[in-house]
Amino acid sequence: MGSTSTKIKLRTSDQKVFEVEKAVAVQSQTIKYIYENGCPDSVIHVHSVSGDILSKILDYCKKHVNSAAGKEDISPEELYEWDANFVKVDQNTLFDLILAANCLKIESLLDLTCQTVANMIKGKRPEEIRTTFNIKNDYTIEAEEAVRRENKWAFDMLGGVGTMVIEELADDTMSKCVTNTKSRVCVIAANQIVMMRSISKLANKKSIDVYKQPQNPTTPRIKESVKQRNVGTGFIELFFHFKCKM
Amino acid sequence: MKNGLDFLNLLNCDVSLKILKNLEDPSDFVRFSAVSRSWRQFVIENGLLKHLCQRMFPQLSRVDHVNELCGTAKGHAEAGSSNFMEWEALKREHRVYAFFARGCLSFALRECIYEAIIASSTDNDPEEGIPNTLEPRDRVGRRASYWSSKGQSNPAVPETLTYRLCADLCVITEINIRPFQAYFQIGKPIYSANSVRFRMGHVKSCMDNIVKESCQDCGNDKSCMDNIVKESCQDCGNEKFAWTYTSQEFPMAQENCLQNFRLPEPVLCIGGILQIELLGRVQRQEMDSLYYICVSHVQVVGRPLSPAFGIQTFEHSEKFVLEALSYEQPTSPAQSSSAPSLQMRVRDLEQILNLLRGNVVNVVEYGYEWEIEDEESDEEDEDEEDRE
Repeated sequence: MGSTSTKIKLRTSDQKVFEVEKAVAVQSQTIKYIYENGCPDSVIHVHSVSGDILSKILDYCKKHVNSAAGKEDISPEELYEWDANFVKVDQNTLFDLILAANCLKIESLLDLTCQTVANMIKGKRPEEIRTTFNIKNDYTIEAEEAVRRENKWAFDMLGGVGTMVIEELADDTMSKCVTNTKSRVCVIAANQIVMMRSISKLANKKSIDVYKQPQNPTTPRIKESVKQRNVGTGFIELFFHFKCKM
Repeated sequence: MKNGLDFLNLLNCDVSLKILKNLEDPSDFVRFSAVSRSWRQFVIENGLLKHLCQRMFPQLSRVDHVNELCGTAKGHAEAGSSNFMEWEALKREHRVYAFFARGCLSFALRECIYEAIIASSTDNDPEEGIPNTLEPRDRVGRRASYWSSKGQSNPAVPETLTYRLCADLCVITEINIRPFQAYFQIGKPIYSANSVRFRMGHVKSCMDNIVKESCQDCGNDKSCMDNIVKESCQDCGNEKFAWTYTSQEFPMAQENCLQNFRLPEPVLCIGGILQIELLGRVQRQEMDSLYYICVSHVQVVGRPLSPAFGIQTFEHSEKFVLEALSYEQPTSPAQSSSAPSLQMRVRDLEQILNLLRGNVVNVVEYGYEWEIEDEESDEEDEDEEDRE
């Protein structure tokens, strides 16, 4: 009997009904449990998930089931890319996905979405995190100072990717490079200081600090460049050690 | 409406923890706690930095509690309500583990061996003694510098080399070993081992009692302990040490080069004792048809965590106390290398004295040239440092 094409009906909180293949639906441990222990013919209620979110989740499950079963010709790298694009959603949707994945017990989706949120925190300054998640800063100035002092090494960013501008750039090249760079810090070579203002304007939007060479006490101390890669003509990305206030 | 959600409020604790477990850098946790008071409370309450450290180093499960002997909130918690004390303890753990994680990831990498303790066997002591493995060259002047085991007819008999590290807490990343090639023998045989394995641990606390009883007068516990340890474990020393980590076996090549054995993950050595196990012999000496293992040089690379951190051990327990002694990043190698170089000067001196007494290794011919002025100035310097 064709058990491979068994369908399961799911009804969401906003009364939408989805009919999906069993193999896809049982990616959710919750649905699997209900299906195996309840009556397989009736519709399964997923109370806490809306239609939009369930639709996205089913896309995810289908993609992963098909790729694992070899039904779709997709390499692990392509699947990884697909996952990365899947989570490029606004924050509300992202947290809805997290809540749904948790409730439906879909381990891999929960891992993926949690990692995505963590990536929004990694390497960020407290002010940036507050902006990202719209958090109210309820510290008094003294209390915040005390917290920063307690582990002050965490607020000196030591080491990371910096960008160095070495040639005069046209506006569009410059803006393309600033957009594509992974840098937290941009250093402008001594003979290109004329570009300082225009780069600063672009860089500030991405929270990139701009400094000029030669070094003075406030410039990041460039200790060593370990890796180097050309981002665009006139821009070099270097891994170097620097200290700047986080 | 602004886009953004205070997810600690929105999600349940388990899911929030799942998100934060993806953070690997202690700085991220610290900056996270600077976002708002409730976020800081979450990090401290759930011991997130402690869990980060335990994930990095499972050896930390033996920590009983932490002490803070520096910083603004020194010492142990004062008497007070138990909730208050618990909160203070959690805050203390937060501070200590934060800096500990920081140290484990970013203190300088350097050579960690402080001195050689003992080898399981030595063919000609001291000419072929274990201290020679701390000398990178395989000959000094015209004298060969290496350690040799005793000969065995059974190639399966293993050997061990035991070292004391420069700090009670070291994060070890890799170990380099150069087997010795007997350049003075026909065929230039290389006396490597078949494979190596590493153990890390501490001196058993029962030894501490023996030491304390027998050196009431001299304050220099450490060197006395070493002497007692050396005297009482002539054979292999294993009963005197407790091993808390044993690595996998790494194959060793029969090549005269510094071979790198990188640990799959950095390991925290608690107690400052590291042992190299040399398993399986491959080279027979033509003269006596016995199998030997000889090592020219040993290097242990890692991040010593002193003077920022120390440990206190308990008498009859495997548990220990992690102590934060300073929140300053340790300074550059120049300062702390004075101890090892003194050791090297002492070692060279011992070997020179041995030559003077006529202890010569059978198979090596030497005529040793040294400058008398240098030797005298070495002695002088050594005396001065002793008097300090």
